[in-house]
Amino acid sequence: MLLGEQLIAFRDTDGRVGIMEQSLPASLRLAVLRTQRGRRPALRLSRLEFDVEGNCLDMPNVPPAQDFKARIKAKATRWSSAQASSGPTWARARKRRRCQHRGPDVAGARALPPACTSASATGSSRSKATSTPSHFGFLHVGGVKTEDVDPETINKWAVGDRAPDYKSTETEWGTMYAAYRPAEPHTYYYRFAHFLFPFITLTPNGFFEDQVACTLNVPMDDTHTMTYNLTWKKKTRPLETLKNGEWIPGLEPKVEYLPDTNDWYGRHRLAARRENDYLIDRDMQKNVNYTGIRASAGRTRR
Amino acid sequence: MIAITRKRLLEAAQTLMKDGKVPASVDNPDIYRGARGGAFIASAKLDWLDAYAEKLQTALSPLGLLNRLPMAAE
Repeated sequence: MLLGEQLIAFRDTDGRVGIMEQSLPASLRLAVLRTQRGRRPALRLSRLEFDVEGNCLDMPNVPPAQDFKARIKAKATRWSSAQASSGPTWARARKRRRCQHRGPDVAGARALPPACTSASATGSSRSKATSTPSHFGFLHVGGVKTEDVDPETINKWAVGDRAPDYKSTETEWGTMYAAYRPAEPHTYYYRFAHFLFPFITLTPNGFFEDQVACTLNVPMDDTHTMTYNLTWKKKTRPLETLKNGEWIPGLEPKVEYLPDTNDWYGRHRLAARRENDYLIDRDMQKNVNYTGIRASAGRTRR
Repeated sequence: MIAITRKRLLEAAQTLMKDGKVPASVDNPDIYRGARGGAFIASAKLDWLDAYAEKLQTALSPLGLLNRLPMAAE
């Protein structure tokens, strides 16, 4: 499901990836109507076979004399050949000129399990969460003190001052901001983040030197979002553990999912959801961190 | 950040609707290569965007895709 469109992704026997609309091709609907007025009212649509270009290859349940597969074209041609790279399969609308970009700079990337969220956590609000400079220091590590984190890293500055100043600006790719607070004398501790058209965010929790990672909040429709996190496996670990190596409460990416179902919204559904108040732990919220949520679906991990 | 991002999105949608013009990154995705998130320490004397451009010069790029933005003084 993408932008309200029901799409089917598949591989052919050569491994090529195809994406086509789930609905019947208009030419087939027309053909069905004509056929129903003709001699074969019981056309079995499920027997049709398409290739990755949307061409109908076979109509095994139609007598050869009545075969009309050459006249059927599924709406697959507006997608260029999708390619698999670093785990995810990328598809590109063919209407635009072909470009050589290879996707994010994520050689050796790890794609974390996606998460489908609904209603209260649409792509806009999820992007918003990663675009709020001070939310990390409060909501995620509000219970962590400076002495709890490794003093040898710059992470200590992230929890030392939870009320940063910040600047933001529009960019060619979207927008960007920097949250900053005083660090060593005459220096600032900066945290940079970006919003990239149309729904990508580059988050600030990591070391700028090797923070090769991104979050994609893909809108399934107006009220559902599928979130993907991609991260370079060799990047330095961000602020997610205490100096004793234990996970900061709430940052461990230990996500529970509901069982899959066959509907269009039935996969990668988080168990912690709006209907159960995200399994909020009030005791944890009071004494450990401000979210009261034990595991994070949106944080990156190695 | 939220306000300017909303404004940026709204203006992009309105431009597409009125003029049929898409954001520049649609046909030139290399634009994305100038973006990098993360934390670092920089001199308080530097402008924030200069600090960003300076750090981009030495940031790792496994595929060599990162675009080293020019410094303001260049």
